[in-house]
Amino acid sequence: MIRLTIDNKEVVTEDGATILEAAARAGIRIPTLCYHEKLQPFGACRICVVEVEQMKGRLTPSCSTPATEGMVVRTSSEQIIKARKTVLELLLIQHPLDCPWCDKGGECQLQNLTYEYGVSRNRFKDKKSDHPVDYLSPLVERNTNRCVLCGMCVRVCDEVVGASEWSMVNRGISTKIATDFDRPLNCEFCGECENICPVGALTNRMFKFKARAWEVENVSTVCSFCSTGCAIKLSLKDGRIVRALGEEEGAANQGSLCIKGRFGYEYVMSGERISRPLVRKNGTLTPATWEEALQAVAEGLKAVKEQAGPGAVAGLCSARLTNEEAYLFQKLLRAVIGTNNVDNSGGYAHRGYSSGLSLPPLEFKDLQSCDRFLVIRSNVSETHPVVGYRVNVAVKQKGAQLIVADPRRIKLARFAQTYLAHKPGTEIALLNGLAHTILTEGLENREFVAARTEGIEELKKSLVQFTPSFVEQATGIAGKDLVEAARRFASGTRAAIIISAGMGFPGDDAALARCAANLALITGNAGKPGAGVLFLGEKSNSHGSVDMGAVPDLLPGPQELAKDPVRQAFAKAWGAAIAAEPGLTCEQIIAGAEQGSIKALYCAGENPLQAYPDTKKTKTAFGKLQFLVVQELFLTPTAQMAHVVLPAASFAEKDGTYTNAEGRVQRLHQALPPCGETKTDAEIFCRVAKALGKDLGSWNPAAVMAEIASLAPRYHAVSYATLTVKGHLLSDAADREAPGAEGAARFSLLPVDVIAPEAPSAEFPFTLLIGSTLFHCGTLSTRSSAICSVYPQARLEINPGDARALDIRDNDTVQVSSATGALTITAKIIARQSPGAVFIPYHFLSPAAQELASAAQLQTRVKIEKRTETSL
Amino acid sequence: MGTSLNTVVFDIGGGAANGEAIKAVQTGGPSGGCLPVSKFNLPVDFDALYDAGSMIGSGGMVVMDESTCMVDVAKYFLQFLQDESCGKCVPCRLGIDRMLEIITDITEGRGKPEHIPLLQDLADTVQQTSLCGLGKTAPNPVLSTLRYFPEEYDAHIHQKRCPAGVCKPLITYAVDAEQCKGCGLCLTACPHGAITGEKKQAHVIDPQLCNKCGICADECKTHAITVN
Repeated sequence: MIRLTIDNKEVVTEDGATILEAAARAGIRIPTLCYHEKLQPFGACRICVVEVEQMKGRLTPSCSTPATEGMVVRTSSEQIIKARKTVLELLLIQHPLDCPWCDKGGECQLQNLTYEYGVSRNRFKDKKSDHPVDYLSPLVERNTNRCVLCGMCVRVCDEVVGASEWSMVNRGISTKIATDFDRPLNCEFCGECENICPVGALTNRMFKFKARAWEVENVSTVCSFCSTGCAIKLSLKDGRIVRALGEEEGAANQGSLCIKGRFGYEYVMSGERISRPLVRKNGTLTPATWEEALQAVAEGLKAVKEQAGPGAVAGLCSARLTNEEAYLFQKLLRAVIGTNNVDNSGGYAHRGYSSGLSLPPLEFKDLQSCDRFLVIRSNVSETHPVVGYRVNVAVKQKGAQLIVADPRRIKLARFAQTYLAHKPGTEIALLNGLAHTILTEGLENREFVAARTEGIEELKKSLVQFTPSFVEQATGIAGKDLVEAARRFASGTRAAIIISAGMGFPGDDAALARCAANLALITGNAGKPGAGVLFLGEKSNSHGSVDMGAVPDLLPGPQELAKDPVRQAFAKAWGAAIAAEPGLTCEQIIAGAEQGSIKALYCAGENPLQAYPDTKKTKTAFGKLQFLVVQELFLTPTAQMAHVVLPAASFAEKDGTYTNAEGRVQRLHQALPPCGETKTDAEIFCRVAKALGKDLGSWNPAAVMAEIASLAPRYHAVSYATLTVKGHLLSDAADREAPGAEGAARFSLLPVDVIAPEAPSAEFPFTLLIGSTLFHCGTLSTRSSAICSVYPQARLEINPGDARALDIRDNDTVQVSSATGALTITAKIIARQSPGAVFIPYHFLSPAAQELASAAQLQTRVKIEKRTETSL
Repeated sequence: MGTSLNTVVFDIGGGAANGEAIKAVQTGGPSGGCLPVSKFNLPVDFDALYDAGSMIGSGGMVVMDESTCMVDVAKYFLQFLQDESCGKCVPCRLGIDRMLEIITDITEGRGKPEHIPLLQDLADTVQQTSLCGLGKTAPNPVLSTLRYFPEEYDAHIHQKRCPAGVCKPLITYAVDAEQCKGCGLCLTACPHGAITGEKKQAHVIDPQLCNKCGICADECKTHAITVN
């Protein structure tokens, strides 16, 4: 620790802190223009200069000068103020002073400092800057006339986002920020540059001329897209959202956002929202009153239940329902209908998250203290960009080493020390191969293995076959690369393994999660911050919906349905018997509908016809349903088949909580009144229950959470009264300290057989990878015009070599067919795509990638043909 | 090291080649300062030159005679420094630009009395707050000439006159009728046709057409061309 004096105040700060940081900690404000805590010190604006007694004769920049023992600092004096004023005058000479119509007006740092220092006249004069304004870039407008060259956009884009789109070009008085050759932006469009810009040089085009900064009311809530759970602020004016900002206090994101969080909120206010209940009359969906609709739902469900029993009813919910709603939904099915047939899209992946992984989740902030990363089956920079930023910071700013294993040369591969391009679907062999090498070379953490784990001998036995040469054959990774990666991974002190789950990643998540957990445990990466396995669910509440028991075999907690005492506790609390038999999973529900054993389906926010594999099969299955009720924001393909459509409120129109991938429960606050006649999902579930003659209790989220807390031990401490903007990290002893708490953590035994993807056949020579793009999440983001302005349509990503062999050029129309279906799509030739595999994002209605996929198969094999004029 | 400037300039260097009086020495490269003859007793060492407002810097010296305008010298070095500024920090990027602009105004007759304290102030801030050595020393040409040659700034600002006859917008060329023999050399040499006159009669320069190139003065054998 270092002791110094700032403005006659004794300050104690940690080693390495700058004067500015030391002052901030002591509550002393030093003005800045180019400093941001997320970025490396830059020292360009010279506003933060201070006087240091030990450095007499000059002014010292506090942002880039480390505090030292005994330093005596003054943050304000006549000379300092004079210097700051002069710097401001210099900046204001060419600045256009178009504050009346600048969108940063009211929250502009230059404006605020000018006011603070009373720079009412300028002793210097010159022509105003007159560069052309860049109106061509999507989403971000660039007006370099207002730029103060603080370099924050350039630095955040490089150091945090890792896109390096901006640079300073030219030099001296001609310096400006630009892209290469000054072309319009073609980047990730996260808007971090626009957000960090202290002046109006980079502005949010969606916010342009919408409101003055002081007119808006900010409502703090949580982003509705991925499971990062970024805390956001929605700015409202005249009952409309005019922009979304990252919440600086947010524990998951520290103010950062990606394109989806910043620009994707528009779907909430879309004109295509369903605003009234619809009931199918004479074959067409016609507007109805809530009474009619609820009546129809009750009758439809009751009829099936009476005819075929409660087991013929099933429910699928979205992983975007709040915890309270997911809880009420499964309660509705279990306690009112009497079936465990409830699942959500996370169900495809939840087994890995809930049952495969014996380790507690990692905290995102701790990722920045990791020194090794293994990113496998996870394009984290695209699916969870803000978590990706943390990896960027650790690798680019703090020197952590990165191992990336992915068939596609994903963004993180650019920064990786080791990049392993394995064959699609061979992750388990690869992880086992790494563990095998570590154990045979004696690189494991013996002390940890002996003290905290059991089953090492069985593990060793099961790994015998995973020699480098075996793994090379299975995965296509050269043996020496595997050994190098294993050594690199084992040599770290804190290693994080990052894996993603979701619709884009078929496969056995539980096995994968167990392999990853083994690897973490043998290297001693458990029980310390930043070490372990980070399993990233796809949607905003993928993790919460499992916790809430919206899955067939778990009750809220999550607690195992199979255990009698658990079931009895819930039966007592709910006043209804709970079937001991686990319910059906998503796939089984669809198969059941096809075979006729499922007759009624309740889809709450779920859109299987667009998001689930094998669209044709799902459509046929749904066509056979006696009764389909869909609770939705939009008239999705699934809703179009429904007998009753119930209009639901969006995330911005309700209160509630989401649980993110690190196990943080965060609070949603209602920003808008519900659109039209829509109601929150919670209210609808309660009303449906009432129409069925049962009482689900209050739909007030706080009351529901109180009920959850009383029944789910993990949520015991969660209460609306104490939830702050930082949320509540689920971290009871049984959870976080699992490896130590019970004496020794158990090694789950490995599935020895490698799940080997079938070899490509002559008919279908390509492997189809279906996944998420950076710009979209699920199918909801396709309703946001801002996002669609940069990524409007699915494209087939194909390797240049493969394209050449098939005579395909960029933007050619191609036909892709699998055993399941066929579609036509525009081709995009891209070097990051590995040979022999093609990629299609699944978000879009047309062309819909899921038409090609089959739920039964691990890998989708396709053939690709160029569409010629005649074949069109 | 330690040798006096006098020794370097007059004994070792031999003074001005054309025999004119020496006015100043500029030491330390472009961001050094200009020292007048009255300071030539100073030894060439780090502290002495620094205290006097210049520096050893690159070790180079530029010795100037009375035909040099010190305001113009400051402008010349500022132009160089403006080119060299990388543009990262505000005071250097914009401060040098402003100092150059003000000095240019002074050398072109637009100088105002308030420019002197303004220059002084700005130079202080640039020196105090710039990020690297370039910005911290960039004001030296301005500060040292303001310190040792204030009368030259005064002449430019108050009398709109360049005593050394260097700053073109402030000077006029004329023919001294008494000295002029009417030989016509200047008339034929003038590229702008600004000189008229009959043979053997005193010639006249039309200030409207004169471009102040000085060719006439160079051509004249009788030193009849005057600069004011």
